[in-house]
Amino acid sequence: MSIHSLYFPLDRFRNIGLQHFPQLETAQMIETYDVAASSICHGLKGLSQGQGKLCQLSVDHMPSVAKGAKFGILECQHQFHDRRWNCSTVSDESVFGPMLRIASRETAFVHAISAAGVVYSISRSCRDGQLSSCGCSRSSRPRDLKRDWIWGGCGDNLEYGYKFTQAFVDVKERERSFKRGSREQGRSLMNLHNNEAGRRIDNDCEIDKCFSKGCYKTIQSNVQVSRSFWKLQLNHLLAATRFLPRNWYVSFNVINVDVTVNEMIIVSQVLIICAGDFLLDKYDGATEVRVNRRGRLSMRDPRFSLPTANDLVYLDESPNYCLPNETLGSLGTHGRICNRTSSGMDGCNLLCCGRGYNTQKTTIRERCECKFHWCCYVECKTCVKSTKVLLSFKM
Amino acid sequence: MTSRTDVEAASGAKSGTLKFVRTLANISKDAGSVAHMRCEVVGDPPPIKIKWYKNEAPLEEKRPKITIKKIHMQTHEHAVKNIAGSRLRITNLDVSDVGFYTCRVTNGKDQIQSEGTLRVDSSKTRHGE
Repeated sequence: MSIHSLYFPLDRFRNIGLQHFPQLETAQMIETYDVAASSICHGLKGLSQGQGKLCQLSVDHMPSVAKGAKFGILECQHQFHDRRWNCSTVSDESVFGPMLRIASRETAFVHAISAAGVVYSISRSCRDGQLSSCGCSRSSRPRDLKRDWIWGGCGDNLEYGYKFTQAFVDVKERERSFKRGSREQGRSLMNLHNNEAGRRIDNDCEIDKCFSKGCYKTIQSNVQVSRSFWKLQLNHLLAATRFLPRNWYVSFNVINVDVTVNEMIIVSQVLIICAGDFLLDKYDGATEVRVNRRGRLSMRDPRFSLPTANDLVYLDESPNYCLPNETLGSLGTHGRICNRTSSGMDGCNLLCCGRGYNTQKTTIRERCECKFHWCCYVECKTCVKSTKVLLSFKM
Repeated sequence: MTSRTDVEAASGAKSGTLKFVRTLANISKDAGSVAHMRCEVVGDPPPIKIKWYKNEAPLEEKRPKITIKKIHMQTHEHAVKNIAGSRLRITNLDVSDVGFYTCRVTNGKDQIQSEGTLRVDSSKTRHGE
C-alpha cells in the first residue's frame, strides 16, 4: 500500500449538496448575472474559482447541482452500506474528509457518482422548466427501444445535463496546470476520467439491462407506456424512490391502477439508482493506472486491457479501512453493525476485521405497515422493536 | 496612437506599458450558433504573448470547435507596429461553452487582461444560426 500525503486540491463542490445554504432557495429565481448572483455564489463554500464563475452565469442551476450532489452521496452510502468503507461523510466542507486525497477506487467512485447525480438532476430541472436556458429533451428515439414504449413529449434533457456537468465539474481540474507526468497531473487525469465515466453512465443503462436490473433509460413523459411493464416495475420503482427500504417491495404485488403520465415523476431517482448499481460494478472492476512521461494514463499492469471511457480508474491501492487513520481518512469499522450469517463484506468476519464483535440489545424504529396511495406517495407507521445487534469491537 | 471611441477603459484594461485597443464584450447567443471574441492591445515594448482562459482554466485550440488566430495587423486600418491581437472563434455553441472568457496579454514587462462573458441559450429550437 502506498501512502501519499501530497497536497492535492480537492474537488469540494459536493459540499453544496450536503450543507444547508439558505440562499439556494432563491437562486432558482435569478436568471441574469447580477449582484445578487454574485453574492449567492460567494457564499457557496466548496466551489473552485472557475466553478464560482460558472455559478454566477448559471446561478439558477445551483439548486439542481446541490440536489444532484446530494443524490450522489446518498446513493454512494446506499451502495456501500455493508462495506468497510461506507461512504461516510464528515461535517466540514471537504464532505469526505482526507479520504479523497488518496487516489483510490473509493475516490474514483465518489467522483463518478457525484457527476452522475448532477447530470440527472440538471436534466430533470430542464424538463421541469426550472432553468431558463434549457427545456425538454429533443433527442431522437433510441434504436433499441422496445416497441411498446412510446417516444415523444417532454423528456429529461440528458444532453444538456451532460454538457453542463462536464463544464461545471471538470473546470476544477483544468484551472491548474501540472508538470507533465507528475503525480498531480496523474491525479487530475484520474478525476477527469472518473467524472466522465459517471456522466456517461446513462449509456450503460440500456433498456435490456434495465429490465433485469429494474431500471430504465430515459423514457419520455406524456406517454402511456406498456401496462404490463409498469405492473412489473412499479414495485421496484417505489422501493427505489427511497420511500421504503429496498426489499420492502416484495410484500405488495400488483396494484390496480391506470398507468399514466404521473408515474414518470419517479424517473430521475430511478436513473440515479441505475447509475449506482452500474458504478458499483465498475468500482469492483476498476483499473489501476499510472501517469506516464508523456502525461497520459497507462496501465500499471500491461497484461490487462485498457480501460474504456466508461470504466473507473485509480492510482493508489485502498487502505483496508479497518482502523481509524486520520491521514488516510479512514474511520475504522468499530461500532458498525455486522451480520453473523453473511459471508460477504457485511459479515462479522470481514467487517470486524477479525477483531470480533459485541452483542448488544437495542431498539430499532422502523417504518412498517406501509400503504401506497395513488399517486404517488407511501404512508407508513413507525414500529419500535427490540432486537440484538452485533457491533464490531475496538482494537 | 490608436484610440477609438468605442473602446472603454475597463478595469485592468491598462497597465503601465500595455493598453487595450479592444476589450472583450459580454455576449449572448443561441445554442448551435457561432461566437467571436477578439482582443487587441498596444504597448511599448510590444505585446508578445496573448493567452485565452475560460473560467480560470487555460483555453486550448480544438478545431473545428475552438479556433484561436492571431490578428495580422498589416491589414488593419490602424496599422501600428506595437499592436497585437487575437481572435477566438467557437462554433456550434452549447451550454459547455458558457463562461467568463479572459484574454491575458504580456510584453515581458507588464500583464493586462480583459474579461467578457458568454451565455448560451439552449431553450430554443436549433435552426440555422
